[in-house]
Amino acid sequence: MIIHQPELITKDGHTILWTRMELTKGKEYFPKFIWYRVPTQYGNSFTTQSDTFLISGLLAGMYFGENIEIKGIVSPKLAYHLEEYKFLLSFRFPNNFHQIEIKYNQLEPLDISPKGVGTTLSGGVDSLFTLWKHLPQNQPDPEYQITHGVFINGFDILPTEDQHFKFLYEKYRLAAAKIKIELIPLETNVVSITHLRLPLPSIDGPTIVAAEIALSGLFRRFFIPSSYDYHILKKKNHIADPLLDQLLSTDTMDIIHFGSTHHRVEKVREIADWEIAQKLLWVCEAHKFEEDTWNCSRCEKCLRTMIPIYALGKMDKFKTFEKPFTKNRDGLWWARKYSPQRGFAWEVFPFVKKHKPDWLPWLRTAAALGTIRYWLFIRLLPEFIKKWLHRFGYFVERNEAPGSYEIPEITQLIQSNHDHTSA
Amino acid sequence: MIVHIPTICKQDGQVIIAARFELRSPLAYLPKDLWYRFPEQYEPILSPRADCFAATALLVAMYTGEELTIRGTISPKLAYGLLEYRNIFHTWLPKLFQLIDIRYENVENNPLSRSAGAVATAFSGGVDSFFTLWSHLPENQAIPDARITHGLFIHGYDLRLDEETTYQAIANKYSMLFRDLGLDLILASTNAYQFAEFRIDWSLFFGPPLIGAAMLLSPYLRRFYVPSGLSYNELAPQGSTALTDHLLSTESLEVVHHGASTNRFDKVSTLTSWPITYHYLRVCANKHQPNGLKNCSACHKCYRTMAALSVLNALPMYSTFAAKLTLGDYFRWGFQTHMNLGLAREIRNRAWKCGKKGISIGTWIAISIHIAIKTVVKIVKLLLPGETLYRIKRSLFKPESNELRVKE
Repeated sequence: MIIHQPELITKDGHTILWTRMELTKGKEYFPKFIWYRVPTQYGNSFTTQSDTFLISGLLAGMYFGENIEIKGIVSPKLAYHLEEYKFLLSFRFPNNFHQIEIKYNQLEPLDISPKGVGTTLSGGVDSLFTLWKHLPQNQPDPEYQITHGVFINGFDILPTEDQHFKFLYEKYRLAAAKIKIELIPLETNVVSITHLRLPLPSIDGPTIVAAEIALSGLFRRFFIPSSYDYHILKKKNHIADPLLDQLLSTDTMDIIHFGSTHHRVEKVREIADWEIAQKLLWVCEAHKFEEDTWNCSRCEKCLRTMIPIYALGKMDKFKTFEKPFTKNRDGLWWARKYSPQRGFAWEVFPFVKKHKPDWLPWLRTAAALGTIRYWLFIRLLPEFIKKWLHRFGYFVERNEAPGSYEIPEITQLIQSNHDHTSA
Repeated sequence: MIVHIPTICKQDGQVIIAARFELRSPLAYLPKDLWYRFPEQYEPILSPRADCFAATALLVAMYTGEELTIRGTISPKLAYGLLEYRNIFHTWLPKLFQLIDIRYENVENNPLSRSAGAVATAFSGGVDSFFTLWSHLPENQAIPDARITHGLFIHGYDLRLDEETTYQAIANKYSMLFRDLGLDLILASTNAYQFAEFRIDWSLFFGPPLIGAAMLLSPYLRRFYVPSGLSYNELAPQGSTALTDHLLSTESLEVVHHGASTNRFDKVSTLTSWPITYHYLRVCANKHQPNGLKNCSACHKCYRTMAALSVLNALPMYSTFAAKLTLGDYFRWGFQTHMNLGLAREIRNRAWKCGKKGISIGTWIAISIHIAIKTVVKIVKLLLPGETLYRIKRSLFKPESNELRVKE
């Protein structure tokens, strides 16, 4: 696999950083170009160093078992640590990633001293917690206070859902501006590299880090909000964790995986009184956007997030839930989406016991019913029935189409630019 | 607990940097100061900052449950990393390491650039440190920035501080070895062990003082490798792991935990193809009867290395070990309270696969005895209060921290 020298295009108020990844054997649905796009005012944040494409390309290379030759310049620190990173990926996920070799043409650190400190800001519990902990009132050291957030179009939100992205971005941008945080909208098709081959949760860590490293011209430090705490990470391997993410730091940019020391319920408690979290929290997996509410309140993640909020007695403060819990009995909705594997029950129960013990029987009932539902209708349901149920809208993923993460006009723009340069 | 501003003094051609650890409730036999000693020539490059004392102090403070105040100057990056470092140790062992507050009085960046600094590795002469050294020689490490230029050999770790003659003899030989490789070996001593002696398992404590010694040289070093003792498939709470070591990096010194992707058996196998190790490999854990570079061939570390070398048909080439393992050795190996079970099982399986049934069965016997002994020890530890256990250990073994500080 060859990863070509990255290039920049500026057009129509946007700057695009792109490259070509050439597989030895052509693969169906493999994207022609990998790109990142930001509004032109942030175009200077892009550098043509190859670090970002090496990280994302590494997933493809290791998945297909192809050695990588990288044409552009790579940070020596990243190159050194990638040896360890490669080992860990293939060691932890041997079915998904194979050991490969990387051939570097030029190793050199970026000759800049960026000043920004960033984090991804999706509006979820983990990212709001990370932002909250690095605001001046909670983080006395200015070196660690967050200056920028990055809101990505091309992960949780698909490019086809651009109106949702713009809707949330506008709300987040205004709220972030009030606390002197600049919010950068970043679009990308980087997920296309492994789309339909590996599920998003099995590649999210390095893919998000790669997207942030694309902005190496701006950031000297970047926080990756942790999805799982050390207790969960001890039991199960995840591709985003404090051990792996830090290995993707470059000579000029520190990657810090933040928040594994807190359970999710503890994170909710920390941000429960923060007005921005109350007004903006977005955790929903159903993507039902209304003018004032954008959490459906009935998907697994919405329910899981509402539980600690309700237990703390703050439900009325959180305005973004369409159907907030109003009475204890509402906790039974949890049964409808409860997953013993994702339910986080073991941290939820002690938390509720401490803050709202009278609610506990309802939640225990919900978890028991949910476990039965999960095994009968999810795990033990034959595949052909699941397929048949597709037509009624069940078991359908939003990103099932092959080009879910692509924007055709950008591909065309890069293609014409590439043709022009080649000619 | 207060960590006072470090002081530097010179004595007998050595430069000593020390910081006072002031406990609200002092512990018996705990030294007043943590100190490091270097040959005088390193004085101009020693850092007077508190960075090197902070992480060690943190573990002591977490053990005592006292809030930690650091008076000296500390790097912002380290100050931030220590918070996560604290949380990880508390998550691992909440009873041993309590969640305490840390107060920094002076957080300030080290103005020195690290772009032109040296790259060092901790070096004790054991399997892990030889493997890390080998991996970063120009012929094995393609990235020039990552190649090792220096080794750091510390007295007070696997050799008692009062074994000065043995230490000097070993240090001279390793200095020559490094010179032959075109590298430098930096010699240092510390009393860090005495802060953990009989209280905190040394395997949980050794990382911060080791990295601390490198931090003292951070005006000169830009990267420091800590050879890994455990591979990724046997990760457990330890004083030095891939998860925690990098959190002790500063703006001017990058700490890299190296070697966890290779298990010890494979490391030994790699070293057998490097003839330099034949006369220099020193793995011995027996602190009480040191014999220069010669290994005692009767401690758990010697046994496991000898067994691995035997499987690889390489034991006779190693002049620092006894010529062979006898059946009695396997029994004695089993009775040792320390055994890396993962490695022992690896040796047993590899020996079986390559037809060395004697070694395989011998190792199996050692493992079985060890599991039984370990269970008994665990029960005894559970039954005895911590302070009683501490007194028993002090009376059974020859302690290094002999100065009684508070009345018992």
